Amino acid sequence: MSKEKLIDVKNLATYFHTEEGTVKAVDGVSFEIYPGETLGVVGESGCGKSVTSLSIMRLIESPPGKIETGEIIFDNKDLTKSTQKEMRKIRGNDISMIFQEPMTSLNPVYTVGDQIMEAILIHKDVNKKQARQESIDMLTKVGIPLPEQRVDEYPHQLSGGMRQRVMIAMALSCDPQLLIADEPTTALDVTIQAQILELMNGLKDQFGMAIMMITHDLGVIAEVSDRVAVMYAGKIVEYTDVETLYANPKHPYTWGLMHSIPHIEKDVDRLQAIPGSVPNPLDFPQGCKYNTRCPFATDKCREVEPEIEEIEESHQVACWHVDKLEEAKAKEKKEKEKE
Amino acid sequence: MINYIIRRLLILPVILFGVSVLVFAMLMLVGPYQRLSTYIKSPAELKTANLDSLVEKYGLNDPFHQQYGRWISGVLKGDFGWSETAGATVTEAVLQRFPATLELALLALIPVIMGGINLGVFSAVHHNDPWDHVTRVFSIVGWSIPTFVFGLVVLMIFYGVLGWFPPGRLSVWASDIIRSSEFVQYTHLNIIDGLLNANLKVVGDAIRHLVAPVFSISILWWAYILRITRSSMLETLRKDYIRTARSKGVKERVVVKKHARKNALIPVVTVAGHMVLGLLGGLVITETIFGYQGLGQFFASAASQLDYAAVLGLALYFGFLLILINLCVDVSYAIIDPRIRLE
Amino acid sequence: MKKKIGVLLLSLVLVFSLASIVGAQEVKKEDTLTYVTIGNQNTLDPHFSYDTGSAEIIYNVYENLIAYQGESVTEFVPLLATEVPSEDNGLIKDDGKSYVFPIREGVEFSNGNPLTPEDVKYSILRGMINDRDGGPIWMLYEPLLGLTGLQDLVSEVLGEDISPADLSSEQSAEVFAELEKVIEVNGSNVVFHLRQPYPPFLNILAQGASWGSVIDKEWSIEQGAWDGSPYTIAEYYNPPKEDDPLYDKMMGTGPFTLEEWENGDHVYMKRNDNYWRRTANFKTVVIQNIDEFSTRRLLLQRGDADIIYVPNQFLSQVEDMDGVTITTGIPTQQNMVGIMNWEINTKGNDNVGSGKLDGEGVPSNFFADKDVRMGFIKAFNYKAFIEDVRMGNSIQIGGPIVRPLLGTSEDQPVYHQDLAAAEEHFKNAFDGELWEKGFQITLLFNTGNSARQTGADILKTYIEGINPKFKVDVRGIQWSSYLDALVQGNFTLGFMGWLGDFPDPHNWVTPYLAGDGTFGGYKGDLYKEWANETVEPLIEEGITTVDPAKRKEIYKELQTIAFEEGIDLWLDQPTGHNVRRTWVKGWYPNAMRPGLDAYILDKN
Repeated sequence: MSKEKLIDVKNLATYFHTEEGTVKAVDGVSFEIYPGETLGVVGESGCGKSVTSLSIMRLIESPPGKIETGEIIFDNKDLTKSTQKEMRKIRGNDISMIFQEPMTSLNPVYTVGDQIMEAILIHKDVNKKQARQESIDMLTKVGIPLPEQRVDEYPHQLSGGMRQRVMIAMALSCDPQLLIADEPTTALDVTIQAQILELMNGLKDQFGMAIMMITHDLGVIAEVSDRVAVMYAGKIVEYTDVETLYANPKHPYTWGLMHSIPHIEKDVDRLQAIPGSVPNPLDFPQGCKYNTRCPFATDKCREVEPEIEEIEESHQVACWHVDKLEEAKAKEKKEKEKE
Repeated sequence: MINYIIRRLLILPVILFGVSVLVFAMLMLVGPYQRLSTYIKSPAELKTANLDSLVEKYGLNDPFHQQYGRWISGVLKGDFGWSETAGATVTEAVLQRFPATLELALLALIPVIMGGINLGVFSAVHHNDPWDHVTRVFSIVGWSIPTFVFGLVVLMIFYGVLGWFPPGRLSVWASDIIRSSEFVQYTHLNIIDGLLNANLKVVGDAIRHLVAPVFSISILWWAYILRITRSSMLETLRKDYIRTARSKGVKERVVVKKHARKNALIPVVTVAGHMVLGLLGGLVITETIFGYQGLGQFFASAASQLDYAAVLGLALYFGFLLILINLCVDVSYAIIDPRIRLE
Repeated sequence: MKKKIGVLLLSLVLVFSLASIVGAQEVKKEDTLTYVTIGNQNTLDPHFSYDTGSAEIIYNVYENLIAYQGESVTEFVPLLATEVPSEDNGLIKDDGKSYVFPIREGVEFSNGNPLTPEDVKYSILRGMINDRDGGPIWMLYEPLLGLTGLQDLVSEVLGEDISPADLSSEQSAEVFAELEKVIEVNGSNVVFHLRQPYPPFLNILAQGASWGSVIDKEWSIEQGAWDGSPYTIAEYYNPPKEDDPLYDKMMGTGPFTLEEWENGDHVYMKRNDNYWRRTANFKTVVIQNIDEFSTRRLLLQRGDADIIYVPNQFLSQVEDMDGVTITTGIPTQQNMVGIMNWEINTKGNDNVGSGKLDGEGVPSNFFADKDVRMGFIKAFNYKAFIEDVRMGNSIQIGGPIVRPLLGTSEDQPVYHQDLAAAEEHFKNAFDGELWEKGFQITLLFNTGNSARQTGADILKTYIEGINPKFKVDVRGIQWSSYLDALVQGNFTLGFMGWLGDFPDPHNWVTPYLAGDGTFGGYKGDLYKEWANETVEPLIEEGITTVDPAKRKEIYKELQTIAFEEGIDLWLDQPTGHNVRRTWVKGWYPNAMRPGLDAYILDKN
């Protein structure tokens, strides 16, 4: 499908220059999002997924952060070169964002309605009365009952799930083309989680927007994504559509993640976690950053870092030893069949 | 909220009663001859004073409840007793000095609140810029300089050298005017009275005498409020909802002023409460240096000379102020932060 | 928007300030005398006032029958009287028991009421009926009746110890009949009748500002003071200060009237244009109370103050100021003495340690031993005190009487430091036991007076240097605690001072030497007994002898006894100073003047 890309990120690198050293939070990341689709970005904490999204929004605190290289092409403009004034027209308007902690992401001293109206009044040419009506409409759309009442309430008067809905209402109030959702359900109960995801999906169709869903939860990825980028230590290590990822993961990290999910059919004594931990960003290992935990690591892995390459159509992986993983997968399959 | 306020006000007399008993008890710890010193001021007076009969006369050796009873029954009738140090009834003495203290306090509040808060916000926003460093240095210096040094230096430069801002509350000629029959002292606040009487010369003279002491007082509080505001702002600016606001495309100036500042004000309100209390309680050092007859000097000399009627009266005044100001602070919290609910 | 308001306000403030600076120059400064000092005024009632703050004001508004001549404290000039009574002009009669004062005519109080002899009589009697606790009226009772106060008179007349406040009208009339005898109106004269001759009587009447002031009878009665009736003594006796009708109102014949009094802040006086002599040079006199010396100094420097009070230790700060005149070495009627308590209370007294002669404290009769006293006396460094603490602004005294009064002389002996002699005395004390065991003692001083503190410190230094077993602590306490210590007999040795009520040796020997004197009275029974036998007969003789030559001998003897017995540590008589702008003319000193005399001054 040759659609127009909504947003095209090319080789984005964002570093943080701290007193202890330079943290290469995002180190050469490229991906695209097409209109109307959901791109899932998955990885452990500290892999750089949030920094990527904040870089797109140009909300990186600078100093100490800085977008070192790369391009973010949106609407025929390179966002890395836009002024803050230009970015403000885009934020909340063309690209919106919602965050992980609904409890603290809303300003406690202003009403819910106030905060929704704020975005509307900035970006749309309406008066206060109209803006208020639109806020009430948005609240209805996100499934909040008695919106005329709720609109004058304060955030602390709503539950976590409600607040997240308000965040969504706020984000969608100006009809954005892209919604960046940074771990939107992580802080919520499982049942609420499902509701919110359902809501987001529904609104996506309604509003015809794209979603960049950032999460560490593979279940969420499976639920909502069309395509997925797996990040590790500031880089994308695997990039493909969601079915392929689950059916045929090609990067040892992805494979490791899949294995660490408990399956309802399987009966295991111990969960198979990936040994070791994410390396210290001030002290990344030389070569492939996954080499400290990868079962297939070789000397080459420890010396030279693999570039991400397309190994089959619409499937990119950054690994020297894809074949070794295939071997391991084949072995596993045989053992399963034996049982 | 109204209920809350009413309840707090109803408790007021109970607390004041407690304060008075406590202060009275402390005063009682001092022996009767020592308390007599308020009346016998020098060895010369010892010649014809029969100390024991004086102790009798003033009831200084009576049991606690009798002495306290005498005082409290007077108070309930509105009579707070006679202050030896002031040479007037306690009520008169306080009322006479209150306008001077009030005028100083009100005028000091203006630069402190406007300057302190605005500079604190500014400093936080320009975190680690050269401007931030300047304001931080100013803040530390302002807070550290002892008032008596600063006041004297101000007096020496602006009066001693330049002759602009003399000590005292009014010049003699202005005093003549306000005491004359054509001038009506509505409030005893010279600036306001001057305006109400349409006498700009008096207003000018009053301002001229107020500039230096107000300046000396406000520097210290200015610095303090600046620091508190700055650190509160810095903390607030790190909060998630600030990030949310920015992500909506809100202008940075609005983010700071609308989203951050209101939240940052809560600790500032607390400090402001202390400050108002301190200002209305009078400032001994400033009053002494600038020859201002205010409550601070009165309080200090009453305490050191064991003028027990005045000490008790002032303790009540102070207690009353404290409770009132705390109430205002609490109510302010509730107004600023809707999460705080006053039951 | 807020910014604009702020800028507007700020510019308004600046404009007003500048405008008022300009406006202030309009005032003619030659019309006003400004005197800035410390402290406050206790009262404006001359019969109540016993402090210099009050006296200063009263001095400029009220007048007496006679006054001191210029700088003298022994020569008089007539004021409201037309002549000063003396033996020579026959106005002192009956062997010194009658004094006749012809009253000046044509004098008015500032409200226009004429001065009459009735006013003089009223003033004296009103004072003697008012007779407040701790007040100065004993100075009328002692010369006129040989008593201390109204209570004594009541007891004498009625034979019972009733309080004057409880007298019935008949009893009041009885007492009044006796009281009235002290003063009589005879045509245009007023005659005082004394029971016994009292040599310093004229000094008492001349004392500016107080008991000798003449108040307006009519006006005073209007204000609610004694109504002049013989039956109402109980009503008007010893009122509390706040109920005194003349507490804050004044009506005198003097060159100024009271305009406004804000106690502790300022007093404004205005020229009395009705004054019977040439009117004063100033339309307004301002007395301001500012306790902070630096502020006073700046006021003087800028010329906003014409005269300021400068404590001794700050004189150097004004010495080099332009346009400022300083007069030093002014004789005063003050002294500083180290009082020693002969019978220290040892129960619950922190100052005596163990209270025994065991090296851990001092016994009650510590200072009753002459050798102990002389030891302390000889240990003190007089030279250092006078040069370094007083900056040379004092002279040593050789006893309780100060110069130039009878009993003193230029070459009278004074104490000198003699550490060897001190050691000898201590070795002799308590039959040698003291030297063996040592002692521990605390000396008290009244805070707020650096000379007294330093005096105590000097003693500590030298005494401890004589014998390591001698331990001396020095402690500063507030006046209230000091008073308490005095009353309880808890003080050991304390530096105190006396300010003369009138310049006569009687007023000096009484407080220090008499067994019931202001200081002597707190030294315990041991002292009273000794005083009774030795000095009190002399004191009695001194005050009843009229012949000045004989009196001189008596007081000289008293002075010598006090000196040789080392009754107290006789230290010094400080000299005073005056600091004023050079444009202030006409100033001269007088040791008995309470402070400012605005009438003699002028500005050019």
